[in-house]
Amino acid sequence: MSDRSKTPPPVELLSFDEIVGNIQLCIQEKKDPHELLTVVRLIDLKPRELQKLGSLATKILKSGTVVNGYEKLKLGVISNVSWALFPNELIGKALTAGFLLDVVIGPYDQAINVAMNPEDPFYQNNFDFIIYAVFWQGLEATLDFNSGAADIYLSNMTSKIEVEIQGLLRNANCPLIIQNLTNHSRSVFGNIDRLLPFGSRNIVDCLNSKIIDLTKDSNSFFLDFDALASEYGKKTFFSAKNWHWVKQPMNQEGLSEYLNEIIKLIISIRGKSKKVLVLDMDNTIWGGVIGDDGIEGIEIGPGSAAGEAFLEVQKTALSLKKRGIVLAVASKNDLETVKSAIEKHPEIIFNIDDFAVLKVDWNDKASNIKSIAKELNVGIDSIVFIDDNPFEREQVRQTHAEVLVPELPVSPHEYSNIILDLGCFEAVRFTKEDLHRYEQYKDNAKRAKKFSESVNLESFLLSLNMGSEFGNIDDMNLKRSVQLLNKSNQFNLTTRRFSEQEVKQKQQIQSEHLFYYKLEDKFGDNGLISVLLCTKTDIHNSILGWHITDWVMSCRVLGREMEKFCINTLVTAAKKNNARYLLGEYIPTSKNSIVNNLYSNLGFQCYKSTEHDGELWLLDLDDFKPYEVPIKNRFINRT
Amino acid sequence: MNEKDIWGQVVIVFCDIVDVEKNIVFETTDSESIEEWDSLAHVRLIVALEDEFDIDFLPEEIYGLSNLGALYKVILTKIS
Repeated sequence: MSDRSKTPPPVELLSFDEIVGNIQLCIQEKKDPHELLTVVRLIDLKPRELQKLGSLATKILKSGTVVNGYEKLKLGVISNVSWALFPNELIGKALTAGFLLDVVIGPYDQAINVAMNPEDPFYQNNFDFIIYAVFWQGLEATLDFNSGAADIYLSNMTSKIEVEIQGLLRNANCPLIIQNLTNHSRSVFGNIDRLLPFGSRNIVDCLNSKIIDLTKDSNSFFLDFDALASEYGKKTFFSAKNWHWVKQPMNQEGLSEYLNEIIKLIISIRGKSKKVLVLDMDNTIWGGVIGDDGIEGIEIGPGSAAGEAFLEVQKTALSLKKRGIVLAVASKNDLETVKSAIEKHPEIIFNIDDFAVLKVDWNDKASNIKSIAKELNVGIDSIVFIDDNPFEREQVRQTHAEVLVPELPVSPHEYSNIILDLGCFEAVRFTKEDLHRYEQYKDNAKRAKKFSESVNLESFLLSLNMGSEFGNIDDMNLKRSVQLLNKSNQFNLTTRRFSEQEVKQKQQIQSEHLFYYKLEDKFGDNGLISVLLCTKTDIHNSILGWHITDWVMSCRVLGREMEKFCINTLVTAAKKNNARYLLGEYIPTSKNSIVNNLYSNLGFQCYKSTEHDGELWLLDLDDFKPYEVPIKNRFINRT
Repeated sequence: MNEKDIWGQVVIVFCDIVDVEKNIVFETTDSESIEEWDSLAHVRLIVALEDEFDIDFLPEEIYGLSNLGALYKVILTKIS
């Protein structure tokens, strides 16, 4: 008999080479390799191994092998350096972040030609994003040291960049990622360089400020290359040899940092940023073991180096909270001791209310993290777990590969920087809702508590005094609507993603109806929590109806009859527009099983169901009787 | 690391970067015999070898060095 009859070793014990071999087998046999890919995420990979992984990802894409849970993306690159050297490593990194990335590189140093020519073959690709990756190395000119020459150079360069960015935006039907410049070269003037009109640092500053304006004006995404290289240290980030040799400005470490930054941006744009920071307590947010050392015995705050370090961790966690990241605790401790420490210890800056969930008990951390996710109603993949104890880290990693668990050194001094360097809380936009998100999750926890106290669901929901403001998506709520469309994975019927430009275009079309919904209750304002996109259709007996192409809802408000409220109001709006039926669409993914019965629960009849294109459900408006819902209608008509 | 280990390591790096199987890689392997070993792969290979062995090639040393055995010999002199 062949080797196949033997039981294979558990996947987590495989080496990188063995995993690669197994993935290759999967590709040949067209089997889904996602389990192997999950294991690869746990290995710290060298650049060459990432490149190998990149080649594999490209083969997976070419072979058409389906990978469950991995999103396909296509990135276009416009650059004036040898970007063609980067894709393998970038694609490898993307794979470890859950993306099957395809990269198409435009002609080298031809940004202006591509931008000016709408017929350029570059645009025939169906890109999800284009990165405008122009480097100072490729722009730099030797200037005469007089201000006239500097003025002319600067005005030429500014208009070149402007024309390129605007041309790309005009011709490519996708968002741009724009990176700024950084000055790598030593100056012959030294400290006064920035004071001189022709000083190269001054020139880069001027160009960068123009790039910022163009980014803001065009609503593009921004990669702060200058901050990246400066933080790393430009002397080691760049390599003059590589630039002279192959027109590639960075050395290997710099390149890896740069590619990481691109991945972080993509993660954030695609709504895969982390939402929850789960902290251990002993030796993570204070020094010592509170159960052993007592409240007075722990190290926190000024007075010792370690105490300062732990204070830094607390400050970082609190600023993340202010930015909209939800905090929770998973600690093996006695709950009363911990509570009284947080309340009484003068140097602990947390309040007990800063944590949306406290799991302080003797259960294993993996199960506690699972229940935190459940209580907050978020996916387990939106959690970051910080613990000084390698055992706990390992247990969580082994149980939940989707949870991000960074390695921590024994000494606490870098903990705060390590948390921030993860870049996993990255936001491409900062909206008002982000500021209030914490309150909303906290309210959620309160509601959950109230819920368990209340016997009757109906009367509980009524007692919440809910009201929903809704209306057509306009400029006031466009940003948040697009954000919700792009980050929702669970309550998302068709999981299509949109750029702001695309939604704006839809607003202009008569046959498109775009709705937003907000929800308020006596505990607080949940903000904008649902988006519904409809388009006119006549596929059912050539009679006019509305096709619900997209419907997303924030999972924070599930179980509150909001779905029924949406359908009630949608029916009213559709009838006003002479529609006779609603056509609901559902495309199953690995994450949206929560809505697999939504349309049938809402009284829709199955109209069509295919394995590849998903399902269509029909609701006849003539027979429809509005649902009784515990939500007050606050329709807003701004037009 | 003895010479045999170093050769083994060169082959591993080569296979990762050029994306070929170990069993077709020998000291006589050159860019003519392996289609995937193009100029871009060559640059990535040099950078990866520098990274792996913590050495620094001069561009003039590796210019036209598209035979794996010859590359390996340059690495040996750099390490010793």
